[in-house]
Amino acid sequence: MSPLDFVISLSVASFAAGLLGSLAGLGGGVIIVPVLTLLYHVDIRLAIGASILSVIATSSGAAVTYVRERLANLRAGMFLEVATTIGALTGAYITTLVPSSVLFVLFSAVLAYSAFAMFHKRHGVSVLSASNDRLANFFHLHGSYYDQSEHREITYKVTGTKLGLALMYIAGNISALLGVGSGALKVPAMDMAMHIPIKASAATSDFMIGVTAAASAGAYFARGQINPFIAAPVAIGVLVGAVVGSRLLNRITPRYIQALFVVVLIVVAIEMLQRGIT
Amino acid sequence: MKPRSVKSIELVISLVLQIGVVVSSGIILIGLVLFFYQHGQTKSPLNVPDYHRYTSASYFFPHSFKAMKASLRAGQGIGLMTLGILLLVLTPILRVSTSILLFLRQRDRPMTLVTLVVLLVLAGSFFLGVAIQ
Repeated sequence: MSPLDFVISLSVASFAAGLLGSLAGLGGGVIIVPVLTLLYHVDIRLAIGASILSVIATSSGAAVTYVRERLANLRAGMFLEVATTIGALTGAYITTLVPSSVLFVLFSAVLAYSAFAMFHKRHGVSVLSASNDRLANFFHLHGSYYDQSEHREITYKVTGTKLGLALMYIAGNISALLGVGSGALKVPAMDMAMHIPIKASAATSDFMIGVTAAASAGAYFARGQINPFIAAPVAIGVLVGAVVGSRLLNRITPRYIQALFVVVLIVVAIEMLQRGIT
Repeated sequence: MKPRSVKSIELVISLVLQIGVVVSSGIILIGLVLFFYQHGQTKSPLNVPDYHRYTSASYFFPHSFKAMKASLRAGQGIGLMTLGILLLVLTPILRVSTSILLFLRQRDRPMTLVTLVVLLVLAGSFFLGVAIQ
């Protein structure tokens, strides 16, 4: 394959990753790493470097729309970023204490549980109209957005911030370890623990993952894991995909987003379990 | 009073992200085109190398600020790609910095503090990561 064919075909694959990533609140690293290693036989270290960049590209590209449309809950996102960034910072230390195979298995168990729980509650999406969560009230984390598929304003109250913070801390750990945005953990944390509607959860997760990824991107760059020749087509493809995807999310029925997310969760859970066992 | 001010914050942050995305992807794209031009892809289709030459673990590319500067000074496409990639990485950091200023202007002390902590941890781990290597 010629270098030009490589750049063009990788851009197209990255476009798909950005599209899916922006819709599900993920970084697209779930797709980028296997595509690069299995299809293009790129070294895993370089694939992870390109993947961390794809997370930042998805996040920034999608958040342009999500923030403007108020689909991403800015205040809740920034509040939870405290936990994810500290989690990313301490993640490197934690790895020296716990073997990574244990973390992989643990991570996949959490994902499998989230998939199960999300599948279970797919029919009744409960939006809270009151909250006695002191943190959420103090920081005004509640939100609202105009849903274009239901043609109405959806106002929701946030609860369970302490559990949310704990889960975000773990998500930050995982991000630093695996070079992923760990949106697979962030979305269920917001959707199920904090009662943020699924669309707002996905959009807020997309908004947040860039910050978590940027925290560890410096190390990846200095370690020489970000090869521009691989990262450039990934960044461009993912950016365009994320911009297109972010314009679709608000028009899609929430039920489909949840179904898409359940499938993604199961795939990631299996992938993580495999890495933990082998 | 509140909804309007919140909305303006959202518009500013959205604009900051948009600028970061457009500028970085523009520079990456120019770098990529320059790279192909410099590596003679356009001239002789018979001498086209396999893409593995540029993607193998042994291929050298700039991965420090110093090497990037040297590559940029030499007018290399790969240096421009590296610059664009770094700008893309800095976009979320710029977004957090902007929100601190916006919350500060609104006299929203709790959220100013929250975003300040995020920026400190973020900047700390970014530069720690660069320095340790």
